[in-house]
Amino acid sequence: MDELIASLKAWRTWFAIAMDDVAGKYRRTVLGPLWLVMIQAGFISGLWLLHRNIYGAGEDNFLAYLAVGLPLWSLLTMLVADSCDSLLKARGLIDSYPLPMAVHLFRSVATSVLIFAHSFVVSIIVLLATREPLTLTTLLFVPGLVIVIVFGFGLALTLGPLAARFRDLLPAAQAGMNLMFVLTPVFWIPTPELRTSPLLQLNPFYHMMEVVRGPLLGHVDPVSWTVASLTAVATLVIGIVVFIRTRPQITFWI
Amino acid sequence: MAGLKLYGVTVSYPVVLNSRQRSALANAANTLSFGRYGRGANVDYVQALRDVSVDIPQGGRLGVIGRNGSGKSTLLKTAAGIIRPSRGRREVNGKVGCVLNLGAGLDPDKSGLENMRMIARLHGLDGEELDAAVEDAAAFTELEAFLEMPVRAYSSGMGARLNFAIATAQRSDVMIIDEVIGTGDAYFVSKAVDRVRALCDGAGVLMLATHSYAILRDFCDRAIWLDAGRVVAEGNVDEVWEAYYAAHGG
Repeated sequence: MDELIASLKAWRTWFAIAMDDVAGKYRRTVLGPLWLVMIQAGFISGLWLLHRNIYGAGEDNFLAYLAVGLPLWSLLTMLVADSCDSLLKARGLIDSYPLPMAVHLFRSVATSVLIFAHSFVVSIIVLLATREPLTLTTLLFVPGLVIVIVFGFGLALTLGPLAARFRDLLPAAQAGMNLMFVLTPVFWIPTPELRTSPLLQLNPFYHMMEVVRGPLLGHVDPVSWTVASLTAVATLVIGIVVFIRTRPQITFWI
Repeated sequence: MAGLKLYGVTVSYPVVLNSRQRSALANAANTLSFGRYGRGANVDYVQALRDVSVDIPQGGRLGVIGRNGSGKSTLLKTAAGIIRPSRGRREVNGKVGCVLNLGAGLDPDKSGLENMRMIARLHGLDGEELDAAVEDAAAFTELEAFLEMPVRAYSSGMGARLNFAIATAQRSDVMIIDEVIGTGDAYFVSKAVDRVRALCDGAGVLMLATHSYAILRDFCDRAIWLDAGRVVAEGNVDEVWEAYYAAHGG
Protein backbone atom coordinates (compact mmCIF):
# COMPACT_ATOMS: atom_id res chain seq x y z
CA MET A 1 0.00 0.00 0.00
CA ASP A 2 2.84 2.37 0.84
CA GLU A 3 4.24 1.56 -2.53
CA LEU A 4 0.95 2.49 -4.21
CA ILE A 5 0.97 5.85 -2.49
CA ALA A 6 4.61 6.35 -3.43
CA SER A 7 3.66 5.53 -7.01
CA LEU A 8 0.97 8.20 -6.95
CA LYS A 9 3.40 10.70 -5.51
CA ALA A 10 5.82 9.95 -8.32
CA TRP A 11 3.29 11.26 -10.86
CA ARG A 12 5.87 13.50 -12.46
CA THR A 13 7.94 10.47 -13.33
CA TRP A 14 5.23 8.35 -14.93
CA PHE A 15 3.60 11.30 -16.61
CA ALA A 16 6.92 12.32 -18.18
CA ILE A 17 7.55 8.79 -19.39
CA ALA A 18 4.03 8.67 -20.86
CA MET A 19 4.59 11.95 -22.71
CA ASP A 20 7.80 10.50 -24.02
CA ASP A 21 5.98 7.32 -25.12
CA VAL A 22 3.57 9.35 -27.19
CA ALA A 23 6.26 11.61 -28.62
CA GLY A 24 8.28 8.53 -29.48
CA LYS A 25 5.59 7.22 -31.78
CA TYR A 26 6.12 10.17 -34.07
CA ARG A 27 9.84 10.60 -34.06
CA ARG A 28 11.18 10.72 -37.61
CA THR A 29 7.74 11.30 -39.09
CA VAL A 30 6.62 14.42 -40.88
CA LEU A 31 3.07 14.77 -39.67
CA GLY A 32 3.81 13.69 -36.13
CA PRO A 33 0.86 13.67 -33.72
CA LEU A 34 -1.38 14.72 -36.59
CA TRP A 35 -1.42 11.09 -37.68
CA LEU A 36 -3.40 10.06 -34.61
CA VAL A 37 -5.98 12.64 -35.50
CA MET A 38 -6.07 11.61 -39.14
CA ILE A 39 -6.53 7.94 -38.36
CA GLN A 40 -9.60 8.73 -36.29
CA ALA A 41 -10.90 11.24 -38.79
CA GLY A 42 -10.58 8.70 -41.58
CA PHE A 43 -12.53 6.00 -39.77
CA ILE A 44 -15.22 8.43 -38.69
CA SER A 45 -15.66 9.83 -42.19
CA GLY A 46 -15.89 6.38 -43.70
CA LEU A 47 -18.54 5.15 -41.30
CA TRP A 48 -20.50 8.36 -41.61
CA LEU A 49 -20.55 8.23 -45.41
CA LEU A 50 -21.69 4.63 -45.26
CA HIS A 51 -24.45 5.46 -42.81
CA ARG A 52 -25.65 8.38 -44.91
CA ASN A 53 -25.85 6.23 -48.00
CA ILE A 54 -27.79 3.49 -46.26
CA TYR A 55 -30.11 5.54 -44.05
CA GLY A 56 -30.03 9.01 -45.57
CA ALA A 57 -29.56 12.10 -43.43
CA GLY A 58 -31.54 11.55 -40.25
CA GLU A 59 -32.20 13.95 -37.36
CA ASP A 60 -29.79 12.27 -35.05
CA ASN A 61 -26.36 13.76 -35.38
CA PHE A 62 -24.63 10.58 -36.43
CA LEU A 63 -21.42 12.30 -37.34
CA ALA A 64 -21.03 13.78 -33.89
CA TYR A 65 -22.06 10.46 -32.35
CA LEU A 66 -19.22 8.73 -34.19
CA ALA A 67 -16.75 11.54 -33.67
CA VAL A 68 -17.14 11.23 -29.92
CA GLY A 69 -17.76 7.51 -29.71
CA LEU A 70 -14.90 6.12 -31.77
CA PRO A 71 -12.02 7.90 -30.00
CA LEU A 72 -13.68 7.07 -26.69
CA TRP A 73 -13.89 3.41 -27.64
CA SER A 74 -10.22 3.52 -28.63
CA LEU A 75 -9.46 4.80 -25.17
CA LEU A 76 -11.37 1.99 -23.52
CA THR A 77 -9.68 -0.60 -25.69
CA MET A 78 -6.25 0.84 -24.91
CA LEU A 79 -7.03 0.90 -21.21
CA VAL A 80 -7.85 -2.79 -21.32
CA ALA A 81 -5.24 -4.08 -23.76
CA ASP A 82 -2.27 -1.91 -22.83
CA SER A 83 -2.73 -2.68 -19.14
CA CYS A 84 -2.07 -6.32 -19.91
CA ASP A 85 1.16 -5.41 -21.60
CA SER A 86 2.38 -2.67 -19.31
CA LEU A 87 4.53 -4.59 -16.84
CA LEU A 88 5.96 -6.85 -19.51
CA LYS A 89 6.96 -3.86 -21.60
CA ALA A 90 8.62 -2.29 -18.59
CA ARG A 91 10.63 -5.37 -17.73
CA GLY A 92 14.00 -3.68 -18.34
CA LEU A 93 13.06 -0.71 -16.21
CA ILE A 94 11.65 -2.77 -13.36
CA ASP A 95 14.84 -4.77 -13.08
CA SER A 96 17.14 -1.77 -13.04
CA TYR A 97 15.51 1.11 -11.24
CA PRO A 98 14.08 1.26 -7.72
CA LEU A 99 10.82 2.86 -8.82
CA PRO A 100 7.61 1.94 -6.99
CA MET A 101 6.06 -0.78 -9.14
CA ALA A 102 2.73 0.90 -9.87
CA VAL A 103 4.58 3.68 -11.71
CA HIS A 104 4.78 1.38 -14.71
CA LEU A 105 1.06 0.72 -14.59
CA PHE A 106 0.15 4.36 -14.24
CA ARG A 107 2.46 5.22 -17.13
CA SER A 108 0.40 2.96 -19.36
CA VAL A 109 -2.85 4.65 -18.32
CA ALA A 110 -1.35 8.10 -18.85
CA THR A 111 -0.12 7.15 -22.34
CA SER A 112 -3.59 5.94 -23.31
CA VAL A 113 -5.22 9.11 -22.01
CA LEU A 114 -2.73 11.34 -23.83
CA ILE A 115 -3.36 9.50 -27.10
CA PHE A 116 -7.09 9.88 -26.54
CA ALA A 117 -6.59 13.60 -25.98
CA HIS A 118 -5.25 13.90 -29.51
CA SER A 119 -8.27 12.24 -31.07
CA PHE A 120 -10.60 14.13 -28.79
CA VAL A 121 -9.54 17.24 -30.68
CA VAL A 122 -11.35 15.80 -33.70
CA SER A 123 -14.41 15.16 -31.55
CA ILE A 124 -14.49 18.76 -30.37
CA ILE A 125 -14.07 20.09 -33.90
CA VAL A 126 -16.90 17.94 -35.22
CA LEU A 127 -19.17 18.89 -32.32
CA LEU A 128 -18.58 22.56 -33.01
CA ALA A 129 -18.89 22.15 -36.78
CA THR A 130 -22.19 20.30 -36.54
CA ARG A 131 -23.45 22.93 -34.12
CA GLU A 132 -24.32 20.65 -31.26
CA PRO A 133 -25.81 22.84 -28.55
CA LEU A 134 -23.30 23.60 -25.82
CA THR A 135 -24.95 23.87 -22.45
CA LEU A 136 -23.88 23.29 -18.88
CA THR A 137 -24.92 19.69 -19.34
CA THR A 138 -22.21 19.36 -21.94
CA LEU A 139 -19.57 20.05 -19.28
CA LEU A 140 -20.64 16.92 -17.47
CA PHE A 141 -18.37 15.01 -19.82
CA VAL A 142 -15.48 16.09 -17.62
CA PRO A 143 -16.58 14.10 -14.55
CA GLY A 144 -17.52 11.40 -17.02
CA LEU A 145 -13.94 11.28 -18.24
CA VAL A 146 -12.73 11.20 -14.65
CA ILE A 147 -14.86 8.10 -14.08
CA VAL A 148 -13.37 6.46 -17.16
CA ILE A 149 -9.84 7.33 -16.02
CA VAL A 150 -10.46 5.89 -12.56
CA PHE A 151 -11.78 2.78 -14.30
CA GLY A 152 -8.55 2.76 -16.30
CA PHE A 153 -6.40 2.86 -13.17
CA GLY A 154 -8.41 0.00 -11.71
CA LEU A 155 -7.98 -2.03 -14.89
CA ALA A 156 -4.25 -1.39 -14.94
CA LEU A 157 -3.81 -2.49 -11.33
CA THR A 158 -5.87 -5.64 -11.93
CA LEU A 159 -4.81 -6.73 -15.39
CA GLY A 160 -1.16 -5.69 -15.29
CA PRO A 161 0.03 -8.20 -12.69
CA LEU A 162 -2.40 -10.95 -13.77
CA ALA A 163 -1.39 -10.68 -17.41
CA ALA A 164 2.25 -10.97 -16.38
CA ARG A 165 1.48 -14.33 -14.74
CA PHE A 166 -1.07 -15.62 -17.22
CA ARG A 167 0.08 -14.68 -20.67
CA ASP A 168 -3.27 -15.71 -22.18
CA LEU A 169 -4.89 -12.66 -20.71
CA LEU A 170 -3.72 -10.24 -23.36
CA PRO A 171 -5.10 -12.14 -26.38
CA ALA A 172 -8.24 -12.93 -24.37
CA ALA A 173 -8.71 -9.26 -23.56
CA GLN A 174 -8.19 -8.28 -27.20
CA ALA A 175 -10.71 -10.88 -28.31
CA GLY A 176 -13.14 -9.65 -25.69
CA MET A 177 -12.81 -6.03 -26.73
CA ASN A 178 -13.33 -6.97 -30.37
CA LEU A 179 -16.59 -8.62 -29.42
CA MET A 180 -17.57 -5.68 -27.23
CA PHE A 181 -16.93 -3.29 -30.12
CA VAL A 182 -19.80 -4.89 -31.95
CA LEU A 183 -22.11 -5.38 -28.98
CA THR A 184 -21.63 -1.91 -27.51
CA PRO A 185 -23.27 0.95 -29.36
CA VAL A 186 -20.18 2.59 -30.81
CA PHE A 187 -20.89 2.75 -34.53
CA TRP A 188 -24.62 2.21 -34.22
CA ILE A 189 -27.25 4.17 -32.30
CA PRO A 190 -29.51 2.03 -30.08
CA THR A 191 -33.26 2.44 -30.27
CA PRO A 192 -34.98 3.55 -27.06
CA GLU A 193 -36.25 0.00 -26.50
CA LEU A 194 -32.78 -1.40 -26.86
CA ARG A 195 -31.38 1.11 -24.38
CA THR A 196 -33.33 -0.50 -21.57
CA SER A 197 -32.64 -4.06 -22.58
CA PRO A 198 -30.19 -6.25 -20.60
CA LEU A 199 -27.90 -6.41 -23.62
CA LEU A 200 -26.90 -2.81 -23.02
CA GLN A 201 -27.71 -2.37 -19.36
CA LEU A 202 -25.48 -5.26 -18.31
CA ASN A 203 -22.60 -4.01 -20.44
CA PRO A 204 -20.30 -1.85 -18.31
CA PHE A 205 -18.64 -0.44 -21.42
CA TYR A 206 -21.98 0.91 -22.58
CA HIS A 207 -22.28 2.92 -19.38
CA MET A 208 -18.68 4.09 -19.60
CA MET A 209 -19.38 5.37 -23.10
CA GLU A 210 -22.61 7.06 -22.03
CA VAL A 211 -21.09 9.13 -19.23
CA VAL A 212 -18.78 10.87 -21.67
CA ARG A 213 -20.68 10.71 -24.94
CA GLY A 214 -24.10 11.42 -23.41
CA PRO A 215 -23.40 14.90 -22.01
CA LEU A 216 -21.57 15.94 -25.18
CA LEU A 217 -24.65 15.05 -27.23
CA GLY A 218 -27.03 16.57 -24.75
CA HIS A 219 -28.46 13.74 -22.68
CA VAL A 220 -27.78 12.47 -19.19
CA ASP A 221 -28.90 9.06 -18.01
CA PRO A 222 -28.74 8.73 -14.20
CA VAL A 223 -28.66 4.94 -14.44
CA SER A 224 -25.53 5.01 -16.58
CA TRP A 225 -23.87 7.44 -14.21
CA THR A 226 -24.58 5.27 -11.20
CA VAL A 227 -23.44 2.08 -12.87
CA ALA A 228 -20.34 3.68 -14.34
CA SER A 229 -19.26 5.25 -11.04
CA LEU A 230 -19.82 2.03 -9.15
CA THR A 231 -17.98 0.01 -11.77
CA ALA A 232 -15.04 2.42 -11.71
CA VAL A 233 -14.77 2.40 -7.93
CA ALA A 234 -15.22 -1.38 -7.72
CA THR A 235 -12.55 -1.93 -10.37
CA LEU A 236 -10.20 0.37 -8.51
CA VAL A 237 -10.74 -1.44 -5.23
CA ILE A 238 -10.27 -4.83 -6.87
CA GLY A 239 -7.17 -3.46 -8.56
CA ILE A 240 -5.67 -2.28 -5.30
CA VAL A 241 -6.30 -5.67 -3.69
CA VAL A 242 -4.89 -7.61 -6.65
CA PHE A 243 -1.84 -5.39 -6.85
CA ILE A 244 -1.03 -5.59 -3.16
CA ARG A 245 -1.35 -9.36 -3.16
CA THR A 246 0.65 -9.94 -6.32
CA ARG A 247 3.34 -7.29 -5.96
CA PRO A 248 5.95 -9.61 -4.38
CA GLN A 249 5.75 -11.98 -7.32
CA ILE A 250 5.63 -9.49 -10.15
CA THR A 251 9.40 -9.32 -10.48
CA PHE A 252 9.46 -13.09 -11.00
CA TRP A 253 6.54 -13.26 -13.40
CA ILE A 254 7.79 -10.73 -15.93
CA MET B 1 20.84 8.78 9.44
CA ALA B 2 20.97 6.37 6.54
CA GLY B 3 20.93 2.65 7.13
CA LEU B 4 20.20 -0.64 5.41
CA LYS B 5 19.31 -3.85 7.20
CA LEU B 6 18.23 -7.20 5.92
CA TYR B 7 17.02 -9.77 8.47
CA GLY B 8 16.95 -13.42 7.50
CA VAL B 9 16.04 -12.65 3.93
CA THR B 10 15.13 -15.55 1.69
CA VAL B 11 14.24 -15.06 -1.94
CA SER B 12 12.68 -17.92 -3.86
CA TYR B 13 11.43 -17.41 -7.30
CA PRO B 14 9.21 -19.64 -9.34
CA VAL B 15 10.64 -21.03 -12.51
CA VAL B 16 7.75 -20.93 -14.92
CA LEU B 17 8.97 -22.80 -17.97
CA ASN B 18 6.14 -24.80 -19.39
CA SER B 19 3.80 -22.83 -21.62
CA ARG B 20 0.93 -24.63 -19.92
CA GLN B 21 2.02 -23.14 -16.63
CA ARG B 22 1.62 -19.71 -18.16
CA SER B 23 -1.87 -20.19 -19.44
CA ALA B 24 -4.80 -19.13 -17.30
CA LEU B 25 -7.08 -21.26 -19.41
CA ALA B 26 -4.98 -24.38 -18.83
CA ASN B 27 -4.84 -23.72 -15.12
CA ALA B 28 -8.56 -23.19 -14.99
CA ALA B 29 -9.17 -26.35 -16.99
CA ASN B 30 -6.94 -28.26 -14.62
CA THR B 31 -8.77 -27.00 -11.55
CA LEU B 32 -12.26 -27.43 -12.95
CA SER B 33 -11.59 -30.97 -14.10
CA PHE B 34 -10.07 -31.88 -10.72
CA GLY B 35 -6.69 -32.50 -12.21
CA ARG B 36 -7.86 -34.74 -14.96
CA TYR B 37 -7.10 -32.36 -17.79
CA GLY B 38 -3.64 -30.88 -18.16
CA ARG B 39 -0.71 -31.13 -15.79
CA GLY B 40 -1.49 -27.81 -14.14
CA ALA B 41 0.87 -25.40 -12.51
CA ASN B 42 3.44 -27.49 -10.70
CA VAL B 43 6.06 -24.88 -10.57
CA ASP B 44 9.63 -25.33 -9.35
CA TYR B 45 11.23 -22.81 -7.07
CA VAL B 46 14.81 -21.64 -7.03
CA GLN B 47 16.18 -20.26 -3.79
CA ALA B 48 18.34 -17.39 -4.88
CA LEU B 49 19.01 -16.17 -1.35
CA ARG B 50 18.85 -18.21 1.84
CA ASP B 51 18.53 -16.57 5.23
CA VAL B 52 20.79 -13.60 4.45
CA SER B 53 21.24 -10.94 7.10
CA VAL B 54 23.10 -7.73 6.60
CA ASP B 55 23.43 -4.59 8.70
CA ILE B 56 25.00 -1.52 7.20
CA PRO B 57 24.88 1.54 9.47
CA GLN B 58 25.47 5.14 8.48
CA GLY B 59 28.95 5.37 6.96
CA GLY B 60 29.13 1.65 6.28
CA ARG B 61 30.53 0.34 3.00
CA LEU B 62 29.81 -3.32 2.36
CA GLY B 63 31.39 -5.28 -0.45
CA VAL B 64 29.61 -8.33 -1.81
CA ILE B 65 31.74 -10.97 -3.46
CA GLY B 66 30.96 -14.38 -4.85
CA ARG B 67 31.02 -16.41 -8.00
CA ASN B 68 28.66 -15.79 -10.87
CA GLY B 69 25.28 -17.17 -9.94
CA SER B 70 25.88 -16.93 -6.20
CA GLY B 71 23.03 -14.48 -5.74
CA LYS B 72 24.87 -11.14 -5.70
CA SER B 73 22.52 -9.41 -8.14
CA THR B 74 19.50 -10.82 -6.36
CA LEU B 75 20.86 -9.53 -3.08
CA LEU B 76 21.40 -6.08 -4.52
CA LYS B 77 17.98 -5.97 -6.09
CA THR B 78 16.41 -7.07 -2.81
CA ALA B 79 18.36 -4.42 -0.94
CA ALA B 80 17.16 -1.83 -3.48
CA GLY B 81 13.55 -2.86 -2.93
CA ILE B 82 13.00 -4.19 -6.43
CA ILE B 83 12.59 -7.80 -5.31
CA ARG B 84 10.46 -8.66 -2.31
CA PRO B 85 11.85 -11.40 -0.10
CA SER B 86 9.67 -14.47 0.45
CA ARG B 87 10.86 -14.55 4.05
CA GLY B 88 12.61 -12.05 6.24
CA ARG B 89 12.51 -8.31 6.44
CA ARG B 90 14.16 -5.31 4.87
CA GLU B 91 14.60 -2.02 6.71
CA VAL B 92 15.98 1.01 4.99
CA ASN B 93 16.48 4.60 6.07
CA GLY B 94 17.12 7.19 3.45
CA LYS B 95 16.66 7.53 -0.27
CA VAL B 96 17.78 4.50 -2.22
CA GLY B 97 19.68 4.86 -5.48
CA CYS B 98 21.10 2.07 -7.52
CA VAL B 99 23.46 1.46 -10.39
CA LEU B 100 22.48 -1.99 -11.57
CA ASN B 101 22.10 -2.50 -15.31
CA LEU B 102 23.78 0.26 -17.24
CA GLY B 103 21.82 1.43 -20.22
CA ALA B 104 18.42 0.09 -19.20
CA GLY B 105 15.76 2.29 -20.72
CA LEU B 106 18.04 3.67 -23.42
CA ASP B 107 16.22 4.58 -26.63
CA PRO B 108 18.47 4.48 -29.70
CA ASP B 109 16.32 7.00 -31.57
CA LYS B 110 16.64 9.68 -28.94
CA SER B 111 19.66 11.92 -28.57
CA GLY B 112 22.24 11.37 -25.86
CA LEU B 113 20.90 14.30 -23.88
CA GLU B 114 17.28 13.17 -24.15
CA ASN B 115 18.27 9.70 -23.03
CA MET B 116 20.15 11.07 -20.05
CA ARG B 117 17.14 13.14 -19.04
CA MET B 118 14.90 10.07 -19.19
CA ILE B 119 17.31 7.87 -17.27
CA ALA B 120 17.76 10.57 -14.64
CA ARG B 121 14.00 10.59 -14.28
CA LEU B 122 13.97 6.82 -13.90
CA HIS B 123 16.47 7.23 -11.10
CA GLY B 124 13.90 9.37 -9.35
CA LEU B 125 15.40 12.80 -10.05
CA ASP B 126 13.25 15.80 -10.83
CA GLY B 127 13.30 19.53 -11.49
CA GLU B 128 16.53 21.33 -10.70
CA GLU B 129 18.22 18.20 -9.39
CA LEU B 130 17.55 16.53 -12.72
CA ASP B 131 18.93 19.44 -14.74
CA ALA B 132 22.06 19.61 -12.62
CA ALA B 133 22.64 15.86 -12.84
CA VAL B 134 22.26 15.81 -16.62
CA GLU B 135 24.63 18.75 -16.99
CA ASP B 136 27.15 17.06 -14.76
CA ALA B 137 26.88 13.78 -16.64
CA ALA B 138 27.13 15.54 -20.00
CA ALA B 139 30.37 17.18 -18.94
CA PHE B 140 31.78 13.88 -17.75
CA THR B 141 31.11 12.08 -21.04
CA GLU B 142 33.15 14.63 -23.01
CA LEU B 143 30.89 13.79 -25.94
CA GLU B 144 30.14 17.44 -26.73
CA ALA B 145 28.25 17.75 -30.01
CA PHE B 146 27.50 14.02 -30.12
CA LEU B 147 25.09 14.49 -27.28
CA GLU B 148 22.60 16.04 -29.68
CA MET B 149 22.74 13.04 -32.01
CA PRO B 150 20.67 9.89 -31.68
CA VAL B 151 22.36 7.22 -29.62
CA ARG B 152 22.19 4.75 -32.50
CA ALA B 153 25.07 6.76 -34.01
CA TYR B 154 27.34 6.12 -31.02
CA SER B 155 30.17 3.64 -30.83
CA SER B 156 29.93 1.10 -28.03
CA GLY B 157 32.56 3.00 -26.06
CA MET B 158 30.62 6.23 -26.35
CA GLY B 159 27.48 4.47 -25.29
CA ALA B 160 29.28 3.05 -22.30
CA ARG B 161 30.47 6.51 -21.28
CA LEU B 162 26.97 7.87 -21.59
CA ASN B 163 25.37 5.10 -19.58
CA PHE B 164 27.99 5.24 -16.89
CA ALA B 165 27.88 9.03 -16.63
CA ILE B 166 24.16 9.32 -16.14
CA ALA B 167 23.91 6.30 -13.87
CA THR B 168 26.47 7.85 -11.54
CA ALA B 169 24.98 11.34 -11.63
CA GLN B 170 22.53 10.66 -8.83
CA ARG B 171 23.09 11.32 -5.15
CA SER B 172 21.33 9.10 -2.70
CA ASP B 173 21.71 8.20 0.95
CA VAL B 174 21.80 4.49 0.22
CA MET B 175 23.81 3.51 -2.88
CA ILE B 176 23.61 0.04 -4.30
CA ILE B 177 26.11 -0.65 -7.04
CA ASP B 178 26.61 -3.74 -9.16
CA GLU B 179 30.06 -4.10 -10.74
CA VAL B 180 29.92 -1.11 -13.03
CA ILE B 181 33.48 -0.21 -13.62
CA GLY B 182 33.96 -2.31 -16.69
CA THR B 183 36.40 -2.13 -19.51
CA GLY B 184 37.48 1.06 -21.19
CA ASP B 185 40.64 2.94 -22.02
CA ALA B 186 42.93 3.85 -19.13
CA TYR B 187 41.89 7.51 -19.17
CA PHE B 188 38.24 6.64 -18.89
CA VAL B 189 38.76 3.98 -16.22
CA SER B 190 40.63 6.35 -13.95
CA LYS B 191 37.96 9.01 -14.40
CA ALA B 192 35.36 6.41 -13.71
CA VAL B 193 36.98 5.28 -10.50
CA ASP B 194 37.13 8.88 -9.28
CA ARG B 195 33.49 9.36 -10.15
CA VAL B 196 32.39 6.24 -8.31
CA ARG B 197 34.47 7.34 -5.35
CA ALA B 198 32.65 10.69 -5.32
CA LEU B 199 29.35 8.85 -5.57
CA CYS B 200 30.23 6.61 -2.64
CA ASP B 201 31.67 9.40 -0.51
CA GLY B 202 28.39 11.25 -0.88
CA ALA B 203 26.35 8.27 0.28
CA GLY B 204 25.52 7.35 3.83
CA VAL B 205 25.47 3.66 3.04
CA LEU B 206 27.09 1.67 0.25
CA MET B 207 26.55 -1.88 -0.93
CA LEU B 208 28.84 -2.78 -3.81
CA ALA B 209 29.15 -6.06 -5.65
CA THR B 210 32.44 -6.73 -7.36
CA HIS B 211 34.85 -9.34 -8.63
CA SER B 212 37.92 -7.17 -8.15
CA TYR B 213 40.01 -7.12 -5.01
CA ALA B 214 41.34 -3.65 -5.88
CA ILE B 215 37.85 -2.19 -6.05
CA LEU B 216 36.84 -4.02 -2.88
CA ARG B 217 39.78 -2.71 -0.95
CA ASP B 218 39.39 0.78 -2.33
CA PHE B 219 35.72 1.30 -1.67
CA CYS B 220 34.64 -1.00 1.14
CA ASP B 221 35.38 -1.49 4.79
CA ARG B 222 33.51 -4.76 5.32
CA ALA B 223 32.64 -7.57 2.97
CA ILE B 224 30.45 -10.65 2.71
CA TRP B 225 31.04 -13.68 0.57
CA LEU B 226 27.92 -15.15 -0.99
CA ASP B 227 27.86 -18.71 -2.18
CA ALA B 228 24.72 -20.36 -3.57
CA GLY B 229 22.61 -17.73 -1.88
CA ARG B 230 24.12 -18.07 1.56
CA VAL B 231 26.55 -15.82 3.41
CA VAL B 232 29.56 -18.04 3.99
CA ALA B 233 31.90 -15.41 5.34
CA GLU B 234 31.69 -11.88 6.63
CA GLY B 235 34.13 -9.54 8.21
CA ASN B 236 36.74 -7.13 7.12
CA VAL B 237 37.64 -6.95 3.47
CA ASP B 238 41.00 -8.70 3.61
CA GLU B 239 39.81 -11.68 5.66
CA VAL B 240 36.79 -12.33 3.50
CA TRP B 241 38.76 -11.95 0.28
CA GLU B 242 41.45 -14.36 1.49
CA ALA B 243 38.84 -16.96 2.31
CA TYR B 244 37.14 -16.49 -1.07
CA TYR B 245 40.40 -16.55 -3.00
CA ALA B 246 41.59 -19.61 -1.15
CA ALA B 247 38.44 -21.49 -2.07
CA HIS B 248 38.21 -20.43 -5.68
CA GLY B 249 41.68 -19.47 -6.81
CA GLY B 250 42.38 -16.61 -9.19
